[in-house]
Amino acid sequence: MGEVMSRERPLQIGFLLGNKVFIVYLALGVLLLVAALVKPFSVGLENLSSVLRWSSFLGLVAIGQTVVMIAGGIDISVGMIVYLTYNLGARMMGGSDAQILPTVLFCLFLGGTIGLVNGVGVALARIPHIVMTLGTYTAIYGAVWVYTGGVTGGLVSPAFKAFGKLLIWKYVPVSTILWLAVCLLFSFVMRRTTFGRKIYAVGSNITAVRFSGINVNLPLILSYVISGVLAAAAGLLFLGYLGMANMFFVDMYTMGSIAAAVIGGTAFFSGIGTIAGTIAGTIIMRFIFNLLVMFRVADAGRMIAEGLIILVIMAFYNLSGRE
Amino acid sequence: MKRLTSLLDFSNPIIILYLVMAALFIVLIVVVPTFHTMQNFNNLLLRNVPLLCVCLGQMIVLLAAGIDLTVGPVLALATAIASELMGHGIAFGIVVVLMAGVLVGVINGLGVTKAKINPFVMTMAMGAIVSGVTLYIRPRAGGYIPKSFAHTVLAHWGQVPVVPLVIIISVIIAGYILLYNTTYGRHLYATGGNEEAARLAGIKTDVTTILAYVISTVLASVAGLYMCARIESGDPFIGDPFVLDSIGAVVIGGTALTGGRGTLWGTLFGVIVFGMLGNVFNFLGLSINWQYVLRGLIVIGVVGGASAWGKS
Amino acid sequence: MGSEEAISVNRAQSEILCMEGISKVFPGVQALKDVTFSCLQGESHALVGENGAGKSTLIKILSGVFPPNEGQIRIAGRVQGFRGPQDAQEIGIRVVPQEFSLVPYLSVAENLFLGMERLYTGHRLWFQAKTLYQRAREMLEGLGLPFNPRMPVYRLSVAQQKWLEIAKALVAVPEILVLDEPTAPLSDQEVEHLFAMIKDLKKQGTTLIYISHRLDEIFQIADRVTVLKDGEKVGTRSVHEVTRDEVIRMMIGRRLGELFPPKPEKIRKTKALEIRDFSAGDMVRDVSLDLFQGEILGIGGLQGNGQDELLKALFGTIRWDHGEVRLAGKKIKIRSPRHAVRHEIALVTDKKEVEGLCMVLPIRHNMSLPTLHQRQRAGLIQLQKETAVLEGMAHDLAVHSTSLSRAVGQLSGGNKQKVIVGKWLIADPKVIMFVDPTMGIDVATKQQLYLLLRNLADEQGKGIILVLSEMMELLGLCDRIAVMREGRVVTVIEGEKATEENIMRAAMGLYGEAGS
Repeated sequence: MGEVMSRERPLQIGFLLGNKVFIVYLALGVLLLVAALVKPFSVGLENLSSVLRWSSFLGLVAIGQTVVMIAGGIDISVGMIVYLTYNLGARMMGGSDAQILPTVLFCLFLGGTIGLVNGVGVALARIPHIVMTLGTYTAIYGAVWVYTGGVTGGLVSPAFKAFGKLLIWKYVPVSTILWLAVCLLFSFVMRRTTFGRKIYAVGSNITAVRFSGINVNLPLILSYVISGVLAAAAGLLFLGYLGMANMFFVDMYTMGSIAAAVIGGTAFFSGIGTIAGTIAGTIIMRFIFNLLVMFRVADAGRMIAEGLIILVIMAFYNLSGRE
Repeated sequence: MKRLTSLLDFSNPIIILYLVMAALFIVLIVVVPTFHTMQNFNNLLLRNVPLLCVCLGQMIVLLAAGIDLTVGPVLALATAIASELMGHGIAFGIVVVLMAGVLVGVINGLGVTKAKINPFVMTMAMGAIVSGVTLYIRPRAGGYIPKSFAHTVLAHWGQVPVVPLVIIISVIIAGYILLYNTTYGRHLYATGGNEEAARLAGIKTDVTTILAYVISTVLASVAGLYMCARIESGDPFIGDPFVLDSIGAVVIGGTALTGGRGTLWGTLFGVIVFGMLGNVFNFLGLSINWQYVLRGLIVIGVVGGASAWGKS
Repeated sequence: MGSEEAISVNRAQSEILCMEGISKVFPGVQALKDVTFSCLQGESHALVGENGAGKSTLIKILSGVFPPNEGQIRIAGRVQGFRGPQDAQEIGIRVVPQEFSLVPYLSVAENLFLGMERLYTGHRLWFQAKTLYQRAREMLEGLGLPFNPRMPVYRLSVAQQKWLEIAKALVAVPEILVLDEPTAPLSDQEVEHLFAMIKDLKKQGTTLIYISHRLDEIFQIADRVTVLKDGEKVGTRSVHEVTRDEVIRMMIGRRLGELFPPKPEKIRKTKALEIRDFSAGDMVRDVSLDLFQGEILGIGGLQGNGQDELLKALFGTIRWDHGEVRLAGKKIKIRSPRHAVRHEIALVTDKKEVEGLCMVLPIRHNMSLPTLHQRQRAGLIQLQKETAVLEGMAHDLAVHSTSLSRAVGQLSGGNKQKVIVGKWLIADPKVIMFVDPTMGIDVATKQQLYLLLRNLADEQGKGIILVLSEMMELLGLCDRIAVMREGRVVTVIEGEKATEENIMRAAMGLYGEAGS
């Protein structure tokens, strides 16, 4: 009987790449404009460079988060994966250039493994996404402290540090270029490969995909692995820039990546989203954060902003989709 | 008493977990000499009052087929507000804390029922907002809690800690009455069990759900008030472990994440298990950080186990 | 098609209900158009129509679930504006819905009095379990239902749950009682019991609205019958003055013969699928069946007797316990949809939106999903090839859409089904199974689907299995009809023996032929 009354999906906007992403970039433009009026310093080259640089760290995580969210999941553990490789990387490197490659490889591998654990828990043990990744979040946090004994240690190798601070054309950080390259890669993957198609399908209706004879576990697990690897990479880039590890760490990556994805048009649990949108979302989030720092409400303001933005956007989606 | 027998329903696979845990504790009690001293018992009581409050609230929200990730942040917020305002009057501080709790609960409820936002998303985002506000009020642990308040809360009558015991007993009684002796309790189970059927039967499912979220945040606020007396300060990070623990404890007690199912006794059991966990870890000499690791893994295991068994 | 009222009932009966000029629009579809439906007090009035005709929408408006866009409802002459189901319940309108509407982990008593607890425990807020259980036991015994009021509902059988839902509606003697497909899970004895109950209620002045697909029951229990079709009222007739054929014609708009494509006389030799002693839990028991290449095999019987489960088990989405399945002679073991697809078997379920489509994704994504591997190189999708294949299929199926990039959620029911069928046809399976493929679809598309099915069998030699709940489709479309009852295949009917009566008798457990 329910066939006649077709259930309304809250999001009428759907999959159309063109329209929605354009809106996000428009919003970015408006934001820059407004900021220019209110705090002209914020659109100066110095600040923009900082925004771009920090966007690369958050952005890498956000790519992974976007992929996971499109697949219908959510990855709360990313913040701690960043934390993990950030501290681990310093210790493993021990100040030696020769150690860079093994360190990087190992850290990425570790991130991927954590992602694998997350993916297996979600796909095979059917543990709800939030509970699973919240559990790994907690476990990783404890593990880092167990491993380091609470002592900040390790030394970043000079070459790594140099790379981390590298700038092109005086204002564009190399890490940003790296980030954008990865974005391009994943955007391509999501749009033009069978893997990407499956991710969108699984996120939209996992039952229908299963009934189409496709293995749903593999894409789901892989999406978490990707998220883990990217988060690990972000931690290393972050380490490179800061030049040293630190046990004290405010997690701006978990909620930040989710907020960036949501602003960029990615929806929760439903196979909707684009990498292109997340790029703009990331830049917007970083820009807002820098503004908040200027207004002296750094972390507190950031958290409020992240939560508020997610809520407002979700409410807007849901309420505008109904008659 | 009839409710207890439902715990022994052997078709429910959680029963195996109960038996294992019970065996474990019996072993512990026998093996570790300091376990069953009055002092240890007191200790347990004192430490787990907030957990009990938070878990009851979480259970109520879960019964309504929701989830409340703001319990930790609200608890921290309560300590922060108290540490700022109690200097101007204890009662004043308490009132503001409770009002804040109600406000957060109402927003949670409205977001879930009217804006149709997924409960995970809603309470996670709201949790971030609350944490942000907390951080703004109290960037690091500190603030002022009047000694009179702290001393009253932690006062002992001989060996017995009065206020904690009172809180525990009244929470349990209130929970029992609410769940089993009011029509609201029935409506709660119905809303979580089959919302459409509940609505067709004339139950106001939106109000029922919103009320559940408010109860949860108010309980979290109460837990926060107790907590700030114990630590004699406000601490923005004090609430962090409560979210995961409350989910784990409630699920281990047989409450379903999908709603409509769960007993008060089961939740109490879960609280005891998780409360004891910290104690057991200390006896085993595990550092707090190992505890974090294990806690995380245990909750994953519990929820995974519950869902796997539930499906077979 | 004007609406005629042929009234030859006693004029002294007053009109208890009049729904006048009711229209209801949902996004994308007009569910009801200017329908006027009225009932006389104390009568039992049947409401019939195909799936999607608008019956349940009409009832939901009557019971206050949502308001109509146009029109009004008059009960005993007074206009009613319901703000919610509670208002309707308060003036005595009770509905026994088709879908499951009990709370599984609450007890029988709690479900019985759901929402009305205060009436039975004497207090608005306070809840006294003992009083509730007592009253429940009294009520249930009065109705002849020996249930334990404390038992949680999930432990009851499907039939018992249906009885509980009926009892729930009778907690107070209703003014108007609506029964929506009540007999699906009931045994013949239970159906008789229900009819006896209905007769009692009528004596007490209750007006009955009875929705059912089962014309036999309707002619047994109803005084008048109203037919809805595609959201409009076709007509109302007294049961004594109309034949079943006429009712069917009113429901589908034309004679059986005109709707379905002709069935070729063919001798089919090669078996596509051999099923022996196949069992899956309680729902499928020792089923033995053959499917020939090039034939359309129908599976009928009362709903809920294992038909859906049989197909699902064959496709691997539910577990099966034992039995043997041979595909073109070779033994196969299908444990998951992936296996099934690999063996070139496809399943189109009746839940398009839940099990068949990714609603937010475009046609392109949906249609290409099962066969992605055919048009890729090293993981990269060959877009041009894909476009060619998909557009070809869309054209063949006459999917009316502007482009492959349109989200399927925006398509009509008929086009949605075509997308699902299309995605499977691209995979070119040897055996295709369907569950109620034309449910909720407009007549024009239905005919296209019928032609397509016939073509798939006759021209392409595929084996088609259809689980159908519409008698007309069973008779009009299938070469052979297997009737299932309580999980077993009771009989396989073909040729001249394929009549509605024989099918119904088999479905209800009566053997032997009847003169038709």
